[in-house]
Amino acid sequence: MSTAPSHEALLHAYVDDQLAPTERAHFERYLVEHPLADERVASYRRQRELMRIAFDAVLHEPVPERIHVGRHRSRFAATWRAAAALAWIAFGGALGWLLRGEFATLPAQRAAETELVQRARMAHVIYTAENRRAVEVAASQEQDMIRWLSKRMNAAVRVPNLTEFGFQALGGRLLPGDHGPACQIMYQNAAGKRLTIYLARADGAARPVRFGDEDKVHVVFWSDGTLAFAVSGELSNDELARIAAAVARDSRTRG
Amino acid sequence: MLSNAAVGDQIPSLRRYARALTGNREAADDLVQDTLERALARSALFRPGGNPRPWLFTIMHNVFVNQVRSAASRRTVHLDLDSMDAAGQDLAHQGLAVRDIERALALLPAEQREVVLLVGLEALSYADTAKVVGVPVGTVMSRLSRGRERLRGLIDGAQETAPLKAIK
Repeated sequence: MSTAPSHEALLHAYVDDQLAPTERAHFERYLVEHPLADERVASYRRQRELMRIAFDAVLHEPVPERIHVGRHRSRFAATWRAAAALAWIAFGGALGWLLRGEFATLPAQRAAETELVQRARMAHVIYTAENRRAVEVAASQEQDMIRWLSKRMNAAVRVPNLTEFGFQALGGRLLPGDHGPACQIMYQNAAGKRLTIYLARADGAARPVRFGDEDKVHVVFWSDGTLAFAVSGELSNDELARIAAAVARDSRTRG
Repeated sequence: MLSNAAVGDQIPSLRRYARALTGNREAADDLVQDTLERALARSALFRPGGNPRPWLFTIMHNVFVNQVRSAASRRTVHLDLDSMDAAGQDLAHQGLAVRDIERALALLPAEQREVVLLVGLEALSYADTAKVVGVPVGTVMSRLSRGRERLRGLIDGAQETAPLKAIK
């Protein structure tokens, strides 16, 4: 390690927000003069961000039945639980019949949606941080890019025009998805802020527009049956919703 | 004495940490369940008014270390630094995969992975992390430093290798 141990400890404490305000200001001045240390701070923060994107979903998962705090349940409780379970099954059956098709695939669908949002957000964080290699194919070769992505995705991919929101397309890249290829199209505005559209193959059912869990990077997602869309950016939900509407409008003119 | 509710509140975050630590849903939930059982058996030892969070993570650390130790005695796989670097190189050729934090974490030695996750993911203070893994704060800092630097090589390293591939 090139820096002195004290600087090393300070650097981590700075990344982890464990410095007092004066120490913090002091260290920020140090960072201005030490670009290598500054680069490490940025990289460690990105690591932390990626970890949260990768694992925070676990917090929202239902806790599996086999995990419980108490060990011993009385026989009465067990019987009662069995009865309650039967009642729920009966109720579920009735409800299922009433809502035929509507919510039948809910848990699987929710898992797929979490996966989509997570992958879109992860790809957003990773590639918007890149400078020279942000995209694989630049938007300057738009027709080439559209042909290439459409062929790989086996669906008509479009690059919606978002200039009315101040965003210009930078280009796109192909990504590995859970069910075949996925792709990302990146945009940037005059202030250097970036926005990404993530596309994956959908399961055939159209889904309404929804927002992902609260996070620094906001995600709005939906599916038109053929493609699942996720638009990500450090924008307000309002702004993002307007952009998503434009993307959805544009994709409906696909043909 | 520790209330079931206080323990129950920590289950989501214990599951998140266990998932990141083991990289496997089943193994992670086993680890959580073993931790909860042991916590219950020892709840009389919990200091009243104490913080259940570091206490539970300490128990999980002990269960995890025992599991790793018994797994290591069954299998005689020795992962040295060179073979881990080779694995990292393999990942570097899989595009996005190398940037996949889960895989990069799996390549860290367990003692570094624990510290990186307790601090970065669970936001424990350095002092609490030291208590949880049972080492001095200085050791926590050096594990954190080595772990993060290694992750940086695995995740950001691809940027350096990618242009080389393109030249041929």
